[in-house]
Amino acid sequence: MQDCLDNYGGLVWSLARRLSPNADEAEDAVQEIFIDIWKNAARFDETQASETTFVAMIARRRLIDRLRKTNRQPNIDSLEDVLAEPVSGRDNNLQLCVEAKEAAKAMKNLRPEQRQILHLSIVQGFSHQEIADALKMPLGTVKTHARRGLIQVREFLGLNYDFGKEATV
Amino acid sequence: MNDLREDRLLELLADRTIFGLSAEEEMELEQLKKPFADWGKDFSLELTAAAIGLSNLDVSEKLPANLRAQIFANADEFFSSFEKPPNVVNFTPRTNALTDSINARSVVETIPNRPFWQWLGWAFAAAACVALAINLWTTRSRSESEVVKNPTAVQTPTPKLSPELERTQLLAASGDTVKIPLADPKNAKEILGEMVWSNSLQKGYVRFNNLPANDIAKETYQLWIVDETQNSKTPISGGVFDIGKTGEVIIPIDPQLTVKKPLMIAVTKEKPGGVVVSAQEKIVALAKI
Repeated sequence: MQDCLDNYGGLVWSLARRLSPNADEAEDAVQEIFIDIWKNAARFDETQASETTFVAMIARRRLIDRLRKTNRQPNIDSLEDVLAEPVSGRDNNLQLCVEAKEAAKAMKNLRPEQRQILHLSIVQGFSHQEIADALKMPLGTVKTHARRGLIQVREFLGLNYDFGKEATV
Repeated sequence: MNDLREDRLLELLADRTIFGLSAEEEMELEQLKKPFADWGKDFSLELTAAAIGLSNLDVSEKLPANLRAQIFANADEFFSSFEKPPNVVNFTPRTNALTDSINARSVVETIPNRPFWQWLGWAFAAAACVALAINLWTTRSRSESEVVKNPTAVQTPTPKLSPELERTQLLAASGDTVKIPLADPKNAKEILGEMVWSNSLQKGYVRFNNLPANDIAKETYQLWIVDETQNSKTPISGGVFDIGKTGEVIIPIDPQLTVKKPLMIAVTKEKPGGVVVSAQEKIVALAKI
């Protein structure tokens, strides 16, 4: 447990701070995330992703769920500030895991609008409506760019999933 | 038709991952996913989003100590709700930290013996007592008018007692404190020291006389508490310590899990840093409670 917290405490805390409205919410979220991690640990598949990405996925799932339930905004800069800052401006090579490094690489290969929308939605936690309003883009277009961008990054990461044979119903 | 359905399914899964779905879209997703046998095993989009979210994430800020303590307490509650270790700990052994750490948790708990906030009450009470005593002493030594006109803020000192004094306090403080000789397991008449333990306070100390110094590059001493509620092969770790010179030493027992019904305290020699499960090959001392 000590190791688990040492390894992922900072990661979960950072994600929670980024995607929570305030520090109190972040603390509550972190507690829920660790319980989720214990509950879902058996589902970890090392052939699919690293532990870091798996933990981040569990964390993100909970954080987004909390935001949606409370209809509150994460503790973020205003969308105008975020838009003023180039997405690639914060790039560095110190990525937490191989998938993060690869994802950053894949993001660079996306079309600028796809990259921007994915950054605003996934990294910054803005809703599709907020992004549509800020970018003066139809809602459907925002969604389309986001989907295509996400699917392309997934392909780049080699995480494509074969839905397999249809079940016999 | 199938391609169209798969495309729409993928769209909805992507939307759900990025933005969330409306109630209608959730219903549509439920319908669309039915024919697919194992769609539920697909986390690829969520993993992708997680990887994107990790890009350039600054993790330099550590988990706050109080939150960390709270998580340990939650873990205690979570795992103790299982009579047997839950499935989550029954992984195929792998060399990764998540697996290892949770497996380790199932073998020997590394949770603080009681949650942080439970100590807070005691800490505040103790600090308040000390502050009151100092305040009374300082105010009594001045005239009444001086006290009223020139109130002085008093810095509360936080005295740190030596293990010896703490041990003495423990012996005096609690009704359930026990003091048991620590003997050589090969020769019960050979007394190496003694152990003091209070179950209500979850505190204790071992005192040794002339325990041989250990080579810290090769080994360390480790304390263990055999608890009736634990598997005897996986006692609770009470912390590690090193002996640098001969003579009398007093070591605090630092149980990593709440001790419920202690049966025995053991001291073993282990590899540097200690172990989560002892092979119990080098037992140095035992104290049966």
